[in-house]
Amino acid sequence: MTTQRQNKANLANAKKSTGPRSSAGRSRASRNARKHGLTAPPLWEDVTKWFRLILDDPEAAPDPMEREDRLRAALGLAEAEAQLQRCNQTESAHLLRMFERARDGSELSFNDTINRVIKDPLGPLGFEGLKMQAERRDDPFLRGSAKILLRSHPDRPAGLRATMHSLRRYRRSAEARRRKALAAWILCASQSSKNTKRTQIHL
Amino acid sequence: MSNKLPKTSSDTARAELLQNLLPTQLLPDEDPETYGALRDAIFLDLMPGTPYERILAEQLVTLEWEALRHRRLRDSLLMAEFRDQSMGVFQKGEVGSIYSFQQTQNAKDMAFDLVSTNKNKRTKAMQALEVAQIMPSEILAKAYKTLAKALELHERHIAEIEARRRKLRDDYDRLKTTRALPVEEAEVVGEQ
Repeated sequence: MTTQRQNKANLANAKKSTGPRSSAGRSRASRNARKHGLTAPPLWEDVTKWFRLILDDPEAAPDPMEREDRLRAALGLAEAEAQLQRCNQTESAHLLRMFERARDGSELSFNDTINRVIKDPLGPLGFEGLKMQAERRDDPFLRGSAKILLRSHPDRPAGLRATMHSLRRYRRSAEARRRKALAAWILCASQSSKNTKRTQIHL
Repeated sequence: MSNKLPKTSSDTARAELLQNLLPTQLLPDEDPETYGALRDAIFLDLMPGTPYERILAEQLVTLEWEALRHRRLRDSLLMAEFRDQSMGVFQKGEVGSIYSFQQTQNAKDMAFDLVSTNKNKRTKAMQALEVAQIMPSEILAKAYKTLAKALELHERHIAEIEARRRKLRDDYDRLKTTRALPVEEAEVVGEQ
């Protein structure tokens, strides 16, 4: 259990560090827990693009306070489409990354690895560099550190697969949302087409 | 007289809108021409009328392409395993893979010929199989057995993509029914 003395010390220490103070620092720290941003609402700019496309009106402007059913359904569908597009883009970028890793990852020779790590020490080959250190370093401390870093490296195959699995989950939920929004839009669109004035045509 | 109408500012704006929203990233080993042919065929079938229908049609093309990608990967895996399993036939007279350091050049060449695109080489390798009294289906069965787990992954993805494609196609068809089709040569004769 924490003693009173420890509590006091904790409070005193906490006062020394109060986190970021500038607005730039605060904004950066607010994104500390951000992993992929797929749960955040889509950008308004993207929603506007989709809204215009759905209504086939390049000058339409979405309004979150809209009362008309048809426009509200269009806005809902635009948001769902923007979200789905972001999920799809993230997934295909990750697939490309997996493809790159699978192509030249484990088959690199010792010299290739050295050359590529020297060329770009902070690049994607950082993983290969670590792997090489974990296998070839004589110093047990450095070898152990490299192994620890390797286990948590986002580019390790299991890590890439786990990320893909999670991205697919987000995409599936975005697809389900889009399906619902599309059903609402179809309902509104069919009702409004029934309500329009009918004219007789003769072929 | 030209059929092309002059582009209005709203047409340009629509084109700009669509440009940013048409995705599909091909992997480096994929052929853009094959993709284009698939896209044209699907568009011919769907005949999208509005920009949003066009986007949904593009998404259907992407799903078809993804399913094809998994089929291609599955077939490549099977082909490579078939080749490896046939190496045993040419080296030891029985179906099975051989460690790389034990492989003879002749067995390796024959195994590669068996799955070659060159018809003559393939026929020659098939004749060698007949001499060894081993059916290609026997090798294929062994390859399937060895790869069961790896193939299952692709089969699962193909089934999932197929379900997504069906749902999207249903949505597309329902969306299309809400739109009245324009009849170009129609004549208005009266109003109700």
